[in-house]
Amino acid sequence: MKMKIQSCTDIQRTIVLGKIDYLNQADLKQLRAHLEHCPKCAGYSETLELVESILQQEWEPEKNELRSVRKQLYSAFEKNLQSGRNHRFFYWVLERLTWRVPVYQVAVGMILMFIVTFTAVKHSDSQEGISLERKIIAGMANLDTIQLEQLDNIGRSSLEDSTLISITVTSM
Amino acid sequence: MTDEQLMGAIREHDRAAFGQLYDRYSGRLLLLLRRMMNNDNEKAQDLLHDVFIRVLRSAGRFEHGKSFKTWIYTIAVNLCKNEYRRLSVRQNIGHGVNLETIPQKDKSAEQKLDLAMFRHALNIELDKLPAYLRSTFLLRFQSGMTIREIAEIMNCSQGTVKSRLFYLMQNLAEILKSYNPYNIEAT
Repeated sequence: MKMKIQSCTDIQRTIVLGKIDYLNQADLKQLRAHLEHCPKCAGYSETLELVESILQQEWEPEKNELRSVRKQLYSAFEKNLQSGRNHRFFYWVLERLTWRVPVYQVAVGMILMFIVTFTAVKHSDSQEGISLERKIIAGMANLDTIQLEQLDNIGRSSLEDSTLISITVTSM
Repeated sequence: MTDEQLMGAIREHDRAAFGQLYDRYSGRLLLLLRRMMNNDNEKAQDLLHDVFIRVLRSAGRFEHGKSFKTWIYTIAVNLCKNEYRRLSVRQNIGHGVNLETIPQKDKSAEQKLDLAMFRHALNIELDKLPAYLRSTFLLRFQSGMTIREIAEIMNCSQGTVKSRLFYLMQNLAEILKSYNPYNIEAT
């Protein structure tokens, strides 16, 4: 972008712009011409140059400080490496497991286990239910052992409500 | 080897590559961090350590095709911002006036003193700046970054970076011109 330079304010603006971005040849030429005969703008430019040079001359790294940080970082690096190794071992084991036991076999096995467990739990629940029912009836009707055996012989599955009621009533 | 290739090697747990990257960036980063932390050396070293720890831990997440330089400076600037939030570092300003490190054309004792005062005034002005302005300024004039790189690091547009720098430079020039030992007008 070409800029028409007139006053010292414009020149100083151009000096700052030149520090931030590039100036075109025409602006540079005008700037140089102005700085040659204007001590005020030359001082302005020098001030900014001095700021830059002070900041840039601090580039020399301080070796002792850097060395101590480096030492700490290397030990952190080793720790990181160790944890990386542990993770790698874990994944290695996981890979082998996957290879030996394919996923679908594990899934079928789990389904079978679920079915067996479910059936067993249900069966045990029904057994408990029968024995509890027997105890209640015996308690209520004051049944003796012979009568309880009679009940067993009839069998829980074929026991009709009427039979149960009649036994209970007669006993009472 | 480029920085990005070294990052690839770090992912493969190459300690030498890590050391090489550290050598390339630790010096400039330490200076930037020290300036950002008001010349607090210890704090700057702690932050430098944290920057490289993050590099180490996030090596796997470093995106291919991205510039490592911008990435590591982004980490550094973000850590400084966090530190600013955590501490009010402004209360702990240490303006070192170091005559020995001042460069320049060999001048008289009086001029050296003026130069030291200039440097001191510059430090004070820089310390007054908020973190985002200070980092923008230092990235440009201390670390020599381009406007595009700074915009990427600061997560803002190039126009914003330019306008920040423009007003900052104008203000600095205005404030510091009376301290300039070579300024004929001021003396």
